Amino acid sequence: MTTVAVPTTATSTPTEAPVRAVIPPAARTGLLFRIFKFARSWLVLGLAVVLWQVVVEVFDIPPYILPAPTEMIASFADNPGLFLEGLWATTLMSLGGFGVAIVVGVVLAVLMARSALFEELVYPFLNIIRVMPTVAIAPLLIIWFGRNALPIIICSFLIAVFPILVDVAHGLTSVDEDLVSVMKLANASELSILLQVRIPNALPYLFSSFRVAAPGAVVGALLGEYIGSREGLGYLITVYSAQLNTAAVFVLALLSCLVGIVFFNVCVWLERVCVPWKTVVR
Amino acid sequence: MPGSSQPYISRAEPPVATLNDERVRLQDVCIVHGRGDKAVVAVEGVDLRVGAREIVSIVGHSGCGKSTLLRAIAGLLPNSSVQGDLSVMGRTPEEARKSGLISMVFQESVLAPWRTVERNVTLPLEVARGRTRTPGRTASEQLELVGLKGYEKRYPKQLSGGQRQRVSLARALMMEPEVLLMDEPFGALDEITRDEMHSELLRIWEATHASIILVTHSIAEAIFLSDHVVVMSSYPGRVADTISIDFPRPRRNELKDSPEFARIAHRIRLCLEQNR
Repeated sequence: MTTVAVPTTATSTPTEAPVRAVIPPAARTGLLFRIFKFARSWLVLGLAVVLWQVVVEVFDIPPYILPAPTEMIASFADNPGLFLEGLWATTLMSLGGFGVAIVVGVVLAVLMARSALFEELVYPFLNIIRVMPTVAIAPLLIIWFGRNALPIIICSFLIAVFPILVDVAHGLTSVDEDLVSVMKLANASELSILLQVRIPNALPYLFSSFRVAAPGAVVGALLGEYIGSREGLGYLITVYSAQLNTAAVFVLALLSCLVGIVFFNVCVWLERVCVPWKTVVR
Repeated sequence: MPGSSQPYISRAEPPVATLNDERVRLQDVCIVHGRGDKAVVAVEGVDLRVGAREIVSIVGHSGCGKSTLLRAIAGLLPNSSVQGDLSVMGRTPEEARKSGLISMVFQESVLAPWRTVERNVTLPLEVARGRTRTPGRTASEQLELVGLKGYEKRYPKQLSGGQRQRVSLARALMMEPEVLLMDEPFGALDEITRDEMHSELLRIWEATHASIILVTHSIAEAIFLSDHVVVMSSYPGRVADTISIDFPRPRRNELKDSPEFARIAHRIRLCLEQNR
């Protein structure tokens, strides 16, 4: 830490140059250092995978308990089309559920923020649906709608909609009252206040709710597929686990993670693009 | 009404302009929050007159109802809670508000963080209903007036507290108000910025035709800026004294160090202490 000390005494005049030499090595942003910084988390992940392989081989763990990473790769390479089709189906279902959740969540939030009566009447129902476990509803949905995309999208929707609804409603109502006063002094209509103040104020809340809702939508879709479907990662998990094909189940679990991670990161990126005032730096 | 027994102006000669060109007039105004058993009298028997191009400050302890009074003048309180005679430019506050005659600046700048500085300044004009007159100054000119030329495309987050408050002032002036209400506008600023903003406000005010009603905790701020200082007592809020400040304008910051200034400050401080 001693290298950090930059001379601040009166003896150092602005014309003196050596201040540059005092920058500690850790603060240097050389190319190698940046690559290391970027790659170090992947490095740890890679080491963990290697460790996994070693443990499985050293202790001779049977593949139906814990398959080695190489076996998982082999399992995927054996029938990549099947896995990728499942991945695609699940992605579509999640996107569908998430999309419907955004529309319904935002509309309900606006209605609830605009009308206290609506909120009073609808809130109990929403709370019941919210606490009701999706696992319990999913079989019902399949009885009602059959083994098709609809119940899966509804499952995905049910998990994703509440974070969006709650956060957006909060964003719409947590507007600074003084800013509303500024609008009222300009004789703004309630609609302009909604459009110009409440909705922009709620946007960061919307995007931050996506961080919870988007992975939730994926989980919901998987659940729906798991319980009653003929395609998708969730369905394939039921098939392979029944066959005790643990390596394939691991591959499917990892692919499910992949969908969730992609959804999450797309949302984080969208947040940065769509609400730049939250990330503006000085 | 005990509070109204005192004359609202202690000046020897009544200022003619004030009487003829009255912008804000409060006569025996009471403000009550809530109803029935829970009703709380916030302000009682307040008389106040503000003439054209006058600056009137209201000082008082926290919770004496000065901000409430300001919101009543702005027409932001429900009609049911305001009693007495209250008019702005000869209209009810609500009418005056809907005609865009009143602007307000708050302690926090309350800018929209998603809008650039320039678009924050134009926000009131964008949403103003039934407004036909075109503003005398463009947003850029308004920003130049408040000393923020070249900051049009910045976001509020990129500005300092003092700069944000300047934007807030520019936004308020964009409506070309007859009456500008300021609720502790410099309360969140540091002392050095505050002093700077005092002379800046006077300079900007010279370029407008607005009357200003300013609520403040700072006695020095009230004296330096105002034509009249209204001292309020608490629980319920009443006018305890009104002091005319006759320092010639333009005023400079050195004024704050003069003995006369200190004498008036002392008088206001005594009045505040007696009317806790």
